[in-house]
Amino acid sequence: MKKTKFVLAVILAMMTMFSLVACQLQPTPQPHVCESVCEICHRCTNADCKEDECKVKCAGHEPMYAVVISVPEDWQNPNLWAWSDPDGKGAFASWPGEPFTKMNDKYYCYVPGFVNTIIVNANQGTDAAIQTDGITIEREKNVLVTIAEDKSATVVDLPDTEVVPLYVEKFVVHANVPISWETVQMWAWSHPDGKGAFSTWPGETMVAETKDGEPTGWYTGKVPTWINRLIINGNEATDAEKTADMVIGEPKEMWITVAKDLTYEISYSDPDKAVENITVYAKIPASWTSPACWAWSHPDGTNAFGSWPGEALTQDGEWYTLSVPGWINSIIINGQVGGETLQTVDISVEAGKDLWIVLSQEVGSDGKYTATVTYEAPAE
Amino acid sequence: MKKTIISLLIVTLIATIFCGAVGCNPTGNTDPSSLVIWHDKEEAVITPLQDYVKKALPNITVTFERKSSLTDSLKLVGNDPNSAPDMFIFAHDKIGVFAEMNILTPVTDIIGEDFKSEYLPMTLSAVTYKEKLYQLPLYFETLLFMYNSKYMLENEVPETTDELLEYMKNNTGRGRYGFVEQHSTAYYSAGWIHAFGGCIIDDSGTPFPNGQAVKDALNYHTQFVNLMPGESEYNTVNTLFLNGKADATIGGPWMVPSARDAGIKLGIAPMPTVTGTRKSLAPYSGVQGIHVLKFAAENKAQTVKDFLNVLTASEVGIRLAMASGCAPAKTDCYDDERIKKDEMVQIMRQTAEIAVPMPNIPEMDVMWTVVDSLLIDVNLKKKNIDASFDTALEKANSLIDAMK
Repeated sequence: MKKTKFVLAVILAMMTMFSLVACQLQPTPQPHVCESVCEICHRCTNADCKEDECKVKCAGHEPMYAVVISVPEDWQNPNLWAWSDPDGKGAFASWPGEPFTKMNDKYYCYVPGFVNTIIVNANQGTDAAIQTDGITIEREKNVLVTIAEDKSATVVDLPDTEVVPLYVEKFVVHANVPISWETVQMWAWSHPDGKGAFSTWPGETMVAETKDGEPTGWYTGKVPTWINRLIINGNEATDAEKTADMVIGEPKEMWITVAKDLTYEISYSDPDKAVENITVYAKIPASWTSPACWAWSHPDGTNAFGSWPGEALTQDGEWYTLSVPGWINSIIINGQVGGETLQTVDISVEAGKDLWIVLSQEVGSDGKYTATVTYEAPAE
Repeated sequence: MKKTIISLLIVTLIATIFCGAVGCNPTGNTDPSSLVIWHDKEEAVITPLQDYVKKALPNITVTFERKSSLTDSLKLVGNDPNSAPDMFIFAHDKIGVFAEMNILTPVTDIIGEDFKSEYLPMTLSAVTYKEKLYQLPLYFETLLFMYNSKYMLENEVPETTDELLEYMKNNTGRGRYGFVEQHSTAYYSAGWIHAFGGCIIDDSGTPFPNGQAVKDALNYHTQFVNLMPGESEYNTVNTLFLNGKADATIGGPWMVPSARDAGIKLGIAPMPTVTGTRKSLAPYSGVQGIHVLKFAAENKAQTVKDFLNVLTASEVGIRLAMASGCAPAKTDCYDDERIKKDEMVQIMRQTAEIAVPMPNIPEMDVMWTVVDSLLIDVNLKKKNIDASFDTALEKANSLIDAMK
């Protein structure tokens, strides 16, 4: 009996050991390392590769050309404004254009192949702001532009001795941060490989945006499109002055609002952009005259117009139309019949969409007309 | 004969024009089984009322009719039984005007005095004019101190106005505001004036009875105004707060649903205390309720009585609070489990202790514009406070004299 127990124990111990060894021998899955990485966007260029890590493919890139500049010593933080002449197609969204990147004693910037005219400007936001006249360059060529003290420019093909870092596709990040943050930085990297966009913490300093010389509260910077993690931080980047790791889904222009409690919201449209107007189309009973529209935001009661009965509608064929603020979500159409004011019930509508409102022909028991609302022109 | 026909035609024409002008109701207004009630409220307020009344009084047809210029219409037709409603729902501040026009019946003449013990004293005092109660209060509104707790952290919520000022200095700039309010509007500035021991008009109709307090309030408030946008009308203040560009505001309960919809992490706090006077900012309150027109009280006495009695039920206030965040006028509504959970309604209940009912005397009608002008002179045009106050007082006296 004792012997049997001993044998059983030995067998059990052996089985346990065997299981442990077997587990050790199981190969740990290794992350796939892409061998077809695009130098510009760092995405996979191999259409046949089905690995998870290579799911997002490079879509190809428009060729970009280097503009290298040499400027007088007192030209600080130079920017490039570039376009195609004579059609006026611009390379960058807004003046003063794209900031140059320092490269030894010169600066460089990339432009699309259609660019044939540039302006170099510097010292923006200071009393010493300066710029050249339009400088003609050859399309689809890397060039070296030397600016003299008198702002005149000499353009030559970029010599082979000037080695410019490869073009990296980037997107713009705007950040609105707590008011106590006097400097704003961003730190970005690619997860899970940990490759960083900037060399040292706390990362790249973002530039304050201004409008009519006043700070807008937004700071701007650019990050490579291959990053998928971001931290916005301020001042000394202590724990109380930085966000948590943000996961970046789509690498495209974004607006990040960081609240004082360090929560953040990411938007792919400018949250400060004014809401556009919408058009109200109304079809009213034939007997009505002087139709007008009264509109407001429920439940806060913000009115679109100063006083009842609101703004007059303008006849356009069988529809009466009016442009109203896009934030309204409640509306009344009213009009006159024989000196008496008639109106619809309060109509709830979705904000921000054009409206087609068809009034009932008969008045309801409450003395008001009902209405059908659609967000596309109804079929005739 | 010709003359007679012409005269008849003229009389008919005048009658027709008159009827057209006042919206003559050809069916008359004497049917005791029907009641017409004018109001200027949104559906969130009227629907719960309508639903409750329908069930409680199935044999009476009650028509709630929304009027955009309700008080102007009443001034025109209030004493014309053919055109006037039987009752109307409105804020208490026009009671004096309509009582002096002799178109209102005190509600106590209809349903007695017993119900009064169940109502918040502030609401009863608001609806009393010359010692008579002219409104059955339903709910009240008052201003609240609201903040966006993503920006104004819990430990930063100011208990005093000096703390608020300090917060504004540290948190205003770069397109953001620490605090915004309709600083140049009489309704909003009243809270500051009351906290300095002043008032816009007293019960006897004397404007600015304590002038020095008003001037002190204006002077102290200027520091806050300088840290707010110059444009201070409702839409600007509302938009700044709802877009997360202002950390705190003083606003009405009507802003709460919009703030929550806009994703604002809303906090509501008691009004700060003015450091120098140790009195809280004491905003005006508006008591909304039912007023009964004389003709209806005389000709539909039982129907009106039944209707008013139904509206004294606590369930009415509870339903209104749940549907639209109104603060009920009846005390026991606040003990209801459903209402206990509503932070905003409970804070309004607290504010009722310090809120000052808007004056309901007719003279107040002219004071709104007088005070607005005074505020614009001081806050926006940066005129001298003493001189601006003297001008405002002179104007108030002359307008009030003209009313007599």
